Amino acid sequence: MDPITAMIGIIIGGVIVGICVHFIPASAVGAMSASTGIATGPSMLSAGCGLAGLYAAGYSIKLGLPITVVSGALGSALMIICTMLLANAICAFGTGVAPVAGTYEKDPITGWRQKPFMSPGTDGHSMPTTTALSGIIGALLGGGGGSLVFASTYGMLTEVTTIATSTIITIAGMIAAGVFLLNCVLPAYVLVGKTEGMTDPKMKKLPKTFVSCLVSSIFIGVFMYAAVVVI
Amino acid sequence: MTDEIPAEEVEKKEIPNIKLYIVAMITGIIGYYILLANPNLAFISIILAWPAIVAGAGGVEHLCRYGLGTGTSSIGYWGTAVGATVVFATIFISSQVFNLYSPFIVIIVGTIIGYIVGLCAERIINMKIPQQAQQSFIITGSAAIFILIVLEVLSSGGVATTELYYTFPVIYIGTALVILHPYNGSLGAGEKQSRTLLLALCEASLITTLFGIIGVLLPNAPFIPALGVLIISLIGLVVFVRWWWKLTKRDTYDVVWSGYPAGVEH
Amino acid sequence: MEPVTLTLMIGVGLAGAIAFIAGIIEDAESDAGSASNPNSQVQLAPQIGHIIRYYDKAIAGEPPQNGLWAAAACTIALVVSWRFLDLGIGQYYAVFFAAVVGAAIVCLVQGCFGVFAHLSRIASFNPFKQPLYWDALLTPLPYSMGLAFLTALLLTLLAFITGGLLGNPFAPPLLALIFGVSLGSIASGTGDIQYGAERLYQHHIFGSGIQISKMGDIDLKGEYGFRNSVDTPYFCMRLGGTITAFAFGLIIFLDGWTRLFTFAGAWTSVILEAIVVIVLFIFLVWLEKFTRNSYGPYPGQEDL
Repeated sequence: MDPITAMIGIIIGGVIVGICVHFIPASAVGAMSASTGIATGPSMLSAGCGLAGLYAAGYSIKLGLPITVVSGALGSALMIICTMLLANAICAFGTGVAPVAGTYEKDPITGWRQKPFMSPGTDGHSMPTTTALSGIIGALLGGGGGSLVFASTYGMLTEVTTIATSTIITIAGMIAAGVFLLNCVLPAYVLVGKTEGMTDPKMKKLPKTFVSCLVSSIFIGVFMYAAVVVI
Repeated sequence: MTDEIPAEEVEKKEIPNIKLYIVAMITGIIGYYILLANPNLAFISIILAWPAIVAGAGGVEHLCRYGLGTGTSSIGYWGTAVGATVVFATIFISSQVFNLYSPFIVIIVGTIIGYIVGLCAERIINMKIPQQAQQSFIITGSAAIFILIVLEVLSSGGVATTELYYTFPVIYIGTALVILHPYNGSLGAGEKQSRTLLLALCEASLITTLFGIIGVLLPNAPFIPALGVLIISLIGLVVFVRWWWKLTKRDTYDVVWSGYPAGVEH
Repeated sequence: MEPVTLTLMIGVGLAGAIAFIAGIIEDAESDAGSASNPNSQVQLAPQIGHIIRYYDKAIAGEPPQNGLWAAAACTIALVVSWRFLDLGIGQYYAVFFAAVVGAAIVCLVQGCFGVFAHLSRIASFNPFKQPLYWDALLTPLPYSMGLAFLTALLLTLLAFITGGLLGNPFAPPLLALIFGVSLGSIASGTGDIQYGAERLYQHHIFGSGIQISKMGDIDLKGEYGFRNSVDTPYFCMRLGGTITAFAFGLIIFLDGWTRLFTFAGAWTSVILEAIVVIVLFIFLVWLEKFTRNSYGPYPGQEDL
């Protein structure tokens, strides 16, 4: 891969990773069944899901860029759907609450009313259908973005350096993980520890995330390019 | 988390983080050149690398006291991700793993990226945390210099072997944990800077013990330097833990072997 | 059947099984130390006047700590296995013995971190008159260390299996880091709900959710006497741990399973994974419907 293209790939991947955090429903208070979303911090959850995508993308790195990106995206989606399904199961059988969202009256997909099922004094529980769909969209974006960084770094290093391929894959994976973790924390500042995915009003703050992630990704991407190619 | 610390008390006793950072940078650079001159003096370098963790833990403490909106763990993750990515990319700059300019490149680039991201959080996202940009670059710069020294110890005089690349993940996540954990561990209403920073020293020596074990076992690698690191880290661990326990015991309300809370049925 | 496919099948089954056991043990480890998000409740308890006897390990979030245990154990295992190979011990035996060495060192490190965190946090509770009970620390400590040993051991073996039998091109330490972080976030997303919303609040009505105003009012009594942290995992392992394990095992197993087929060339695994995601999504909708129908609206809110 041409190093300049690879650098642009790293930057685009970083920005997509930033955006994905907005879509994945997560909330720390969810661990007490007191709000909608998977029961952990948004950045932590996105990191776990992005790394699962990276694991899936690793299998197909030698088959070209598109297939790497798609398998990464689907690896992440698999991780997030398993987590959401079984988190709903725990909420149903372990704590005795039904999935309820706090940000909409009727579920846009199934049309089920939400308010009657919400325990008083809470903001919702676990993941109803639309929230879950938003999580899958977020995971597809996150896994795809992380894998794009991975594949671009791999392409850049194979083009320029003479290190053995198996070693390059590990280094590229490590750098992709680094870029992922770097970009998934900035949105967490915007979200203040809690989001319900695409139905949340905090989606309006998406441009802020976009600009911040763009700036930081440009710096990392340019530095990678400079370190590998120029000097 | 609700951390209500009386403001005047905090201002009286605390050391500003930027001073810790400057000290850490100076000791880090000295440590790096000692290592470059003679790899067998690694045990001195590792002592000079510990202040970096202290400065990083101070930065985390400052940021997280204001209720960041994200977990303590995320900020540690993030800072170390910047530092580690910068150091890992620096490896490709020259045929030698690290050269004469490495510490300056790492510190300057790490600081710039940390500052830019902090500035984004301050200006674009409008966080209401004083000195956010400054504290952010303290975390990233400290992580970068610490990881640089550890990698230099493990790389047997600057030769990049495949085995060295295998140690990246543990170096990355280990540094992240010791930078974020001192504040996370002593979280609470009675949290004090002195105890947090001492805990940072304890954990820095603990994690360098782990790196020392890995270094001793690495093939074609620096057996003597890593052994030195291992021994000096163990000694440091014992010394710091005794010091830290003295302060902790003083701050604890009561130390008892066993018992039940008074006035509660059981 | 071709030998390659047979190896893959054995690898997939073994990876799924190990991932399942690792999930159970990891969740128990985090519950034994009241780590992750429910920790905020343990942290709030002294502030509202409950003196606790929980082991307040709180090593960061679950994902980074698990990442460290797994990555450190795997790196040590890898370097030790190279040393064993130099001595002429066969590769597979070498990996197994080396994994034990790595996990043993990691469990000591976990113990140190746990003691540091517990003592520091109790000292920070000073304004609320929370004393340090040594036995409340020393009873769960070996238990928690043992669970950390098993987690690190299993994740190391999983990393070697996915790297060796399934042919993932990443180096085993990076795989271990990935599994550690993923498993940590899965466990804190699924298993911890039972700890945080049910075990800590057993004296509140089942199914009431935990109101924000009730937070911190945690249950201090065990089945017999005052509650210690060793009382927690046996309760949470029955549902929370098993379901965490199910989630992680399912991910590893299904991800491997989609790579067994080759009917559409390189895109086979992608197509199969998309189908699996859609099927699981249908299950999710069905589960939501089932839950709503069985529980019904919250009493007194039928008309909202």
